[in-house]
Amino acid sequence: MDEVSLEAPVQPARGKPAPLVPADGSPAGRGAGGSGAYVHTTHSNIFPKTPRVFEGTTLEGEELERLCRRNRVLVDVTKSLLRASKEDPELEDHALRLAFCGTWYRKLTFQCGTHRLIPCPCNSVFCQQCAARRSKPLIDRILKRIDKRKRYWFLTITVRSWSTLTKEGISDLIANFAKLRETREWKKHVTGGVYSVEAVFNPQQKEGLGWHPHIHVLVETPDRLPRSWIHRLRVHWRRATGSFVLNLQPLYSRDEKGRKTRRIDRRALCELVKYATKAGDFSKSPERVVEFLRAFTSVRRVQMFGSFLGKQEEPEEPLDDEKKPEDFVGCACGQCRWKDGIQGDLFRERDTFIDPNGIRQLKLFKDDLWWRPEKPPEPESQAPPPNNLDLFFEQRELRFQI
Amino acid sequence: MTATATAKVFEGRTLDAEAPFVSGEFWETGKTIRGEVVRIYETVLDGKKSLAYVVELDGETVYIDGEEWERVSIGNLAGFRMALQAAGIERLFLKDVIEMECESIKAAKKVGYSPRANFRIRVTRS
Repeated sequence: MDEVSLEAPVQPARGKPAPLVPADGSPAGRGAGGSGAYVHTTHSNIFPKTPRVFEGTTLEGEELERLCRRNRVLVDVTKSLLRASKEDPELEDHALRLAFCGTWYRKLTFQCGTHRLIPCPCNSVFCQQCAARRSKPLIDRILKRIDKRKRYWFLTITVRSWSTLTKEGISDLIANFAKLRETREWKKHVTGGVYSVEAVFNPQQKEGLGWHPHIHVLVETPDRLPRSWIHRLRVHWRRATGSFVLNLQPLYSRDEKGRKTRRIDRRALCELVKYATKAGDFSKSPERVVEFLRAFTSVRRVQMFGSFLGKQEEPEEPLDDEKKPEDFVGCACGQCRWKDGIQGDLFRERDTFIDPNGIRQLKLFKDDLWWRPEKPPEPESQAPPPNNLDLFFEQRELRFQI
Repeated sequence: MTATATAKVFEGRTLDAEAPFVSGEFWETGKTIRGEVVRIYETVLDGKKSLAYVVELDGETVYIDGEEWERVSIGNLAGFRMALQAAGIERLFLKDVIEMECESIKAAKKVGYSPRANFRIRVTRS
């Protein structure tokens, strides 16, 4: 009796086709599946290698390195804030705003029906983009105030390093500097200027005194300063804070060849009003990041004094680099101003596009057949577009007539 | 028939491999060198390893320390490393044809540091 096997055969019996007969009497073997002689082909025969060219410059590489470094610090700060948000949930919001700065837009609606999208900056003390945006109009204002007949100096005022950075400490530092400005020595020579408050962290500092707050001051004087002036100022500063480290040097810029020049330009003022936080040294420590954030929240880091105070009526922060509240939007009616816009929803950058006129629009409008970037339709002259239901009724009416 | 081993012979001269470094002092704005990478070797400076490339100059010669050279070594220059990075390549390989031009010289900000030559490079890899 034959045994019955339930296993399926590996290959059906007689399922394999017979080998191909070589055509035209050519020998069987390699390439015999075709009908011609074997032709050796390589990848390079089919896709011949073309020489690849790589081009780059040192300056591009330098910019690339700087961007990489900046992004690394940003990521570290965001991670630290998220780690610290387990204790304080409000920090999570700050971290997310920082991480996605520049990727969200708010819709503004104007009276004539025009819509505009404006960026929503995070305004975090750690954001380099926001720092650059905020410092630009301030530098412009300072450059307008610069008088070529006067002399300008860069003064750095320091205090002994701190173990903890607090808002009270920063306020005391600013108050001490205000007292210094009230001294006879100061008033005798200095007519005005700008100061900025900064704090850097040195992890290698002994005894945990890592924080080093300091003030950078742009000092305007009508004449050359006497050499003894800075020494007399040090005495006053030592009495107030216990520190006597004050560094004074003429404000200078550098020309294209890297030589010092006395001309005061944007580059010279960048160090003074950069608003930037040197967070690279403490970005990986959640405690330090939170300490810095709490110390500098709602603190005016850059302030003018003396003759530089003058244009107080100007807004501190315009909506954008070029858009001021009083400027016209550039809409169809030509009368709407940026300040008249009614704030609407938030949109991600991916939901927007830049039209041929350079205006950011929602993709929603791009899909609209009636949307034209050049001439926006006027509401009273244009009939509303027929929708599918209107077309259906029109066709039915026509049929009844027939 | 049995196979017999044949001896391989390799020959080389120290002078053929000698190639002086083109240092920061060599470079001036507008100076250009062009050639093929014929050798790559490792250098160690302050404990950091980096690659240096011997470039056989393309029909030109350069004067370094008063001597005329047809091949030079490139490497360990910050400007060169940054330009490579901007070009999107990490390193050079043998037979790469490189053309580098000094665009400008950036003065050092700190005392004791040397000026940096800024380059424009073009690497052709076949």
